Amino acid sequence: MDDIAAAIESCHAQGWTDGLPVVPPTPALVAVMLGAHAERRDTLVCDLPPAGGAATLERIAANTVMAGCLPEHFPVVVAGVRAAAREEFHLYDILTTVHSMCPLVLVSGPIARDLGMNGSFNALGQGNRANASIGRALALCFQNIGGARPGGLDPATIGHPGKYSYCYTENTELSPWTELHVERGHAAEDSAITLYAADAPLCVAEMGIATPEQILRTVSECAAIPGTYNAFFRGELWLVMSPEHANVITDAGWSKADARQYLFDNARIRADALSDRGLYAFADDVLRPPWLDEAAPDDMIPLVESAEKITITVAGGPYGGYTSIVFGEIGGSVTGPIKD
Amino acid sequence: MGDSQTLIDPTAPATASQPIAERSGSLDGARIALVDGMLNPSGNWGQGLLDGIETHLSGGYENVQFERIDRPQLMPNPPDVWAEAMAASYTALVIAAGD
Repeated sequence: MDDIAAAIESCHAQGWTDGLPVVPPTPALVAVMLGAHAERRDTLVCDLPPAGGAATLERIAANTVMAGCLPEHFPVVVAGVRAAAREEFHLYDILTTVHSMCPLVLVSGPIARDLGMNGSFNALGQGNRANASIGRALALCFQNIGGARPGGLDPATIGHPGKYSYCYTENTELSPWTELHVERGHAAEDSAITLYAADAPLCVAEMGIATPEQILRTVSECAAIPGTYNAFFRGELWLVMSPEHANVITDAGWSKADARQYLFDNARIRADALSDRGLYAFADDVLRPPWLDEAAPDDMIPLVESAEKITITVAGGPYGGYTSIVFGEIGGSVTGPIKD
Repeated sequence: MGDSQTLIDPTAPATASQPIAERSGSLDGARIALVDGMLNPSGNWGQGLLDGIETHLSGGYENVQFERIDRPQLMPNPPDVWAEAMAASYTALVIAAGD
């Protein structure tokens, strides 16, 4: 036991942890994590921003061990690292900004069920090993392989709790809609991982409701606030909708596209309520969307370029009328396959 | 187990996938671009760093020309197109990066 405690302390001392104790990445545990990949442990998956560290299978496995993952979680973490490094995800910007954001991780498809991931009660909260450890493993990879350490290359002014772990799956039993990866062109029998550059969730309550308009009006009003990066930068808006809300919407005959369109049409801010903000100047004419510059003072400015830039996922327990708004930054989400 | 030698190092040094540009022996007579690549260009937060670089290099080399350049974070062309254009015009580049 003394050896284990010393190894945990050694990990802390070397700056490998997120502040919480980790499972020491011993050669034996890393070999178990690598499994059939052990003989190609030096295979490069990608270079990981911001420092461009070489994400080899062994280094990913070491971080996955430290996070408390099981070997069956490893393919999900590898897929997450690979997706995060895609240029269109802007991982460099996400990890090195002073803004408080980090990748939000959604695991879709059969593997989420096989791993026992939680898309029900507390889907974005604590309590499920796969959700917690897969999200944590990716965060540790960004820190230890990518080099994004707090106060160093990760200069987030405030940060948010999701930077420890921010991972969930959809409630496929209660969702009226197909999973996100199917919406994005993957087969239902395939598994996929989606990453989104995310602020902390803002939980919006709308109880005792009867119509889609009542739910979506409240969500729109809560989303249409100045001070978020969505209000000033090109990006994507992400929602985690409870099954209760999603089913009220579909029971009234609305599709997910209808819900998106309502949000696009109604989650808007007057142009002159944005143009006198500091963020307006901060988002120079490269970052700022052109439709904001071209607007008349009383024009209502959408949060995203089109309704398709609003992503709706369904997660949470069976009762409770809640939708969490997850504001984002530049760019959008990426979805990639999970392979063995 | 307390010895770190028994643990697999989960960290990675930055890769050397980008070749280092050729270094000239002297900056005498050089044309140097001082690039403000900070996310918030209106904040001018990179200028102090670039002021220091200019002062430092001015003291060590003869006839050095400095030019201040703004570099947008999101560019209409890929970064390597911009880098090639800068390389054609300047002897060296110093970039203040961050936000």
